[in-house]
Parts: sequence; structure tokens; C-alpha cells
Amino acid sequence: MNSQPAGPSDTVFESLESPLVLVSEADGTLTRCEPGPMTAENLLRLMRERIKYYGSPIPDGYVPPPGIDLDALLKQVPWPPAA
Amino acid sequence: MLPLVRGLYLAERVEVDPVSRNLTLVNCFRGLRMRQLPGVVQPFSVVAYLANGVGAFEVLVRIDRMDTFAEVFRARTRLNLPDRLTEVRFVLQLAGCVLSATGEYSVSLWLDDELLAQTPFNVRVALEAQ
Repeated sequence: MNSQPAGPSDTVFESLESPLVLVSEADGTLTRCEPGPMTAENLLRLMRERIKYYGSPIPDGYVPPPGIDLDALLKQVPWPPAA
Repeated sequence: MLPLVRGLYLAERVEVDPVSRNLTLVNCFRGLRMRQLPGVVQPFSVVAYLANGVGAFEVLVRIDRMDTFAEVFRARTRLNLPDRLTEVRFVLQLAGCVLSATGEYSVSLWLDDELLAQTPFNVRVALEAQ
């Protein structure tokens, strides 16, 4: 039995037990789709994110898709900021 | 059961060691500089580490403009998670994404119509080559 501890060079880094899933259009495992309809849930997500970058949840003059209550969504975003 | 996402990264490319199966994410980025717009983005990878999930899922990755909310890219695939204790490394290679404007964008990852993670990037027009 070797009494010397192993050195750093004896270390092996590996990820053999973690499955790796690679998908791409090139190998047919990823399918490109046409844009889908905007949903209220997704619009709310984008509005919340938009504030960080543009200072307001919606662009000027934004008209939501039919069936989405923009006023109701605006009440759910932290805007305008509290004084 | 939907998984947790431990990380969502954008990388220019991902190298996989053929022996160890380790991943190397090359040039993880937060912004793209395009020579001109509109333009086709060089292929890049979206990388997610998924844990604590089990089952078969439909995966959707989409890219949205944050200024107008226009969706600029959408693609689907299928994913099987074997059990809750196994972390799955999920790499989507995106190609042919056309961007038409500068500004902020959001890449989001959805499983069975549930948003799991999102990460932003910005797009600028590059100055002339140095």
C-alpha cells in the first residue's frame, strides 16, 4: 500500500453520471416554430422584465392583443415606483 | 414533476470532453454586437442544469424583444428526466435566429408551458472592424 498521498495531478474531473442532452435543428432534435400568440402570463413576465431596462412596463402606445386586460396586468407590476 | 433550473447560460459554444463528459462553456455572453441589423446571429447555445424533476416534457425556448414584446425565435423539443436525483445538463444549439433591432432581449425556457427560467441579453450594432 502506498503511504504517500496522491498529488494534484492524480485528480480526474468527470461528469459521467450526469446525463447530457444536446439538441439542435441540425440533428433534427429541435424544431423551429412560428411565434405563438401572446398570453397574459407571458405579457406580465415581459412587462416586469421591461421595467429593468426601459423604465416602464410597456412601450408608448402599446396595444395589447385582443382578450388581454392590460389595465389588470399593469396593477400587478411595480410601476410607477412608489414616491 | 417539473425540474428546478440551477442555471441558465448563453454561450458562444459548448465543448464536451469525449471521455469525461465535462462541459466547457466558451464565451458565456450577456450581449451581442452585430455588424448590421437585421442580421442572422452566429449559432450559440442555451445551457440549463435541470434537477429535481422527473418525467417527459415538451420544451420550448423562445426569444422575445423587451422593447416591443415581439417574439423573434421559438423552437421546441422533447426531454425525458429519469429521476429526481439525477441532474440533467441540457444544451440547445440555436441557429438561424434573425434579429432586427438593437435593445434588450429575453431568452426563456419553458417546460410543458410553465416558465422555468429566463435570462437577458442585449444587442448592439458593432462599430466598424478595428
